[in-house]
Amino acid sequence: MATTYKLTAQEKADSGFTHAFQLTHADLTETTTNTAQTFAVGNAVAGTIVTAAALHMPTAIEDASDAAFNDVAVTLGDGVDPNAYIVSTQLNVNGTEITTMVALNDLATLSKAYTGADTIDLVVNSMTAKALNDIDTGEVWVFWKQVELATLIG
Amino acid sequence: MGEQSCSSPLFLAFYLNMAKTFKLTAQEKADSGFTHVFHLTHEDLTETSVNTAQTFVIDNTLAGDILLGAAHFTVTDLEDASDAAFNSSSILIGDNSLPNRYLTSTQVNANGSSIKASVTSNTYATSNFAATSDGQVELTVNSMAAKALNNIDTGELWLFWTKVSLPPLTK
Repeated sequence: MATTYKLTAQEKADSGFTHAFQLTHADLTETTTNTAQTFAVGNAVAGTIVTAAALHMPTAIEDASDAAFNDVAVTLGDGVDPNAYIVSTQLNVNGTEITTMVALNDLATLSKAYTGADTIDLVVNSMTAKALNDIDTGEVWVFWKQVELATLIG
Repeated sequence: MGEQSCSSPLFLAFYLNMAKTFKLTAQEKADSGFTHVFHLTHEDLTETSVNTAQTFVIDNTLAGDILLGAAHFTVTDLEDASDAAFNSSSILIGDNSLPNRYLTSTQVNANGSSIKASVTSNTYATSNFAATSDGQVELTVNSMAAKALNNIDTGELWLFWTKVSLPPLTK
């Protein structure tokens, strides 16, 4: 099932990321066609900064019985800016899938300080006449760096 | 290109006095944000043809790696001590498809307008790179008309970059 992990101290040191979220095809349950599914993968309290993000897909997304289902793009952002951290990235093997992605937005967009609570959201988009719950193959991980500044003081 | 892990890369590189790539220690990573370093001295510049660059493969990248920029620090400017007219030796860090992806042209020759330290100035769309197939990180040292890099007899540079391999984090 969809799970958010805090990386270990060693993984943080090696990668620079603090959190990871694993999504598999079994998590895609949206039955309405051409309708996205949003996963709140993290919580950002006031005083949180997010400064980096990336994506890696060990197994491409696919409806194995429907090659015409060729468009499943994801974004990573928040309630204000859905693609603040990862811009639209194609994951469907019947499209032009991208197996590894790193944040391409520049500093002003990518590095964000939260003055109020928000969620960090992974949005999985569908396409015309296709529903995400028909996806039966795929595993995707997203990574981001999130620091709660209040924990560093006092 | 040999990638080494060493608790004292500066000392080892000095001792060997040759170009080397090292992984930074955990403490160095935490302090700097960089993961790898490459040490270049004038002795590594062996190109004998005039106006011809020399390229060093300073790291290998695998599918699933991401690269997040680079920096350089000059300990001693490059120089041909007997030829002040040899006044341009610029460096780039990048890869096969974009040689200046991580570090744009930076002058390091003592007889030019040498730059002591530099950091990636490209936009993230250029300098944040996700490897979807195997590749390399390359340092290019450019020469100039009528001059050959092997005549450089002074200089020491350190190049830093950040490489993260994502697949191990999915296990």
